[in-house]
Amino acid sequence: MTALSLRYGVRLSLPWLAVVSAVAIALLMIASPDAGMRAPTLVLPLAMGVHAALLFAPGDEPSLELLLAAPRLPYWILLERLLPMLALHGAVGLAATALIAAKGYVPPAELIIDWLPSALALTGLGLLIAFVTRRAGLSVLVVLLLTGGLLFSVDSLILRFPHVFILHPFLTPGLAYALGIRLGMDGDVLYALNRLTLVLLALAALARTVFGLRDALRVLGLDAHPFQREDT
Amino acid sequence: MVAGMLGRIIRMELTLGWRRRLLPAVGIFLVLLQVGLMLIGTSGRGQTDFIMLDDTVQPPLITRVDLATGQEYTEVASLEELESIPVNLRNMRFDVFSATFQMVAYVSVIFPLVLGITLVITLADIIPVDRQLRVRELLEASPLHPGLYLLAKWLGGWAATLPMLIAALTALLVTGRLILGAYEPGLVLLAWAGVTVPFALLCAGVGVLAPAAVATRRRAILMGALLVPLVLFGYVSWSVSFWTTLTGLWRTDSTIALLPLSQSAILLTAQALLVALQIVPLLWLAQTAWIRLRR
Repeated sequence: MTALSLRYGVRLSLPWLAVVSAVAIALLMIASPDAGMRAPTLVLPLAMGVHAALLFAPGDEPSLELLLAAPRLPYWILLERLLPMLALHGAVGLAATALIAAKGYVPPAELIIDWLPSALALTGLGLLIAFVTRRAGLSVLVVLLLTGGLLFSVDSLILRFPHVFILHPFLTPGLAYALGIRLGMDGDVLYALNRLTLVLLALAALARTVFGLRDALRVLGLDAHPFQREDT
Repeated sequence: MVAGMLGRIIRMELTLGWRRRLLPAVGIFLVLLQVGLMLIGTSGRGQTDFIMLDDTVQPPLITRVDLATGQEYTEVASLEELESIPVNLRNMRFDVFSATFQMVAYVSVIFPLVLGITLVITLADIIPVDRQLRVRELLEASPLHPGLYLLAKWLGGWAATLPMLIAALTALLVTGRLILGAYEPGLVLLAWAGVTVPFALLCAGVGVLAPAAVATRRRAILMGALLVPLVLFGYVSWSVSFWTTLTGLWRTDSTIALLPLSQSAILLTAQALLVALQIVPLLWLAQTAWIRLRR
């Protein structure tokens, strides 16, 4: 018996949400050529964060006991849903990148560095909150409010509190350059630090979730954890 | 017996709304957001010493405050000062007007936006969770009509939302007084009752009833998330109308004071939202018919 049940994982990972991302990106590129150049950055972090929040929430999982009783390591439950999700959204992102790069405005590598770390960070956040709180609803809410709020206000927040640049999910090289002048640092270094921090945060969130799955009692909500008292 | 069951379902939803901790979390987030915005707004703003221009007396008098000592003093207004202050900003305390207007903006702009997004997701799984936990079969075996069951869940969602709204408003009124200073609470309460509450009830009703036929909690929450753009569209529609009415009236050289103008804009918006609230009973009828059809 293989550890990974990809067919089951793909079905549970709601693959059609990637189609929703693709449609949203396409509409943005058609509606506004200027905003369309950053369409993957504006759409994919939110879409992937919400999608990740819906992948695995212990309180909402109907057959959790059966899944945990299977003779395989428990983190496969998460990975067999996460990998198809990342693959599908990644394919949408790469296709959008290729389309934008074909217009000759921005190199593809720069576009990928623009959207991928933000998307991974919000994916990790969505996964972690859903796992810790046992509720997909709360995780979806946090991702939506955080992404929406940051999209509209983080640039003005950064101007007031420039050292928070390291957590800015939508930092652009231009803004990093301006911040660099203000902080007396090289803009490229700031940008690289920001992107690296987001990727590290994503990996940390994923690691926390994977290690959390080792404790079956806690995953089932059978110990006295503040968020796990009642599954109603 | 049926009425008793209805009452118990509503009471249970009220209790579960708080035990699930999502609604209290939404209320706390609302208050923290408002306080944060108030603090950022007051820290960035340049202070003005202008308090009031009284042009009902001759010569017109201008009241100012000494920013260092806080003492107010009155002097004769010069012609330039008289011309620089619009007619509809005269004869009222500017500091009270400014604080009142900020509070009205928070209650009628920020509150509804956050509530709209959060309520459709928070309340989306109220009905599908019964099916997921296999309680629906028990309920269907009871003498409770499916329409009455949906009605109880809908009213239960509203019952769970209202205490959160009241608590958030109370916290906002207190923190507003502490941070912004004196304001006219009547207008703020009117904005809350006429704009925030109807919009919140509309979003709560749609959030409860729209995913009623969905089988699992996860799909219900996803449906709630997909309703967010619709909620935002509705929000933009009435808020654009609200601000257009208000600022349009400001731009005319009106002699009507701004606070009564705000009152008119709030009442017009309240009217539109109360009409929009009719969507919820229509949705209830549609879902009841759908459930009967599927049986």
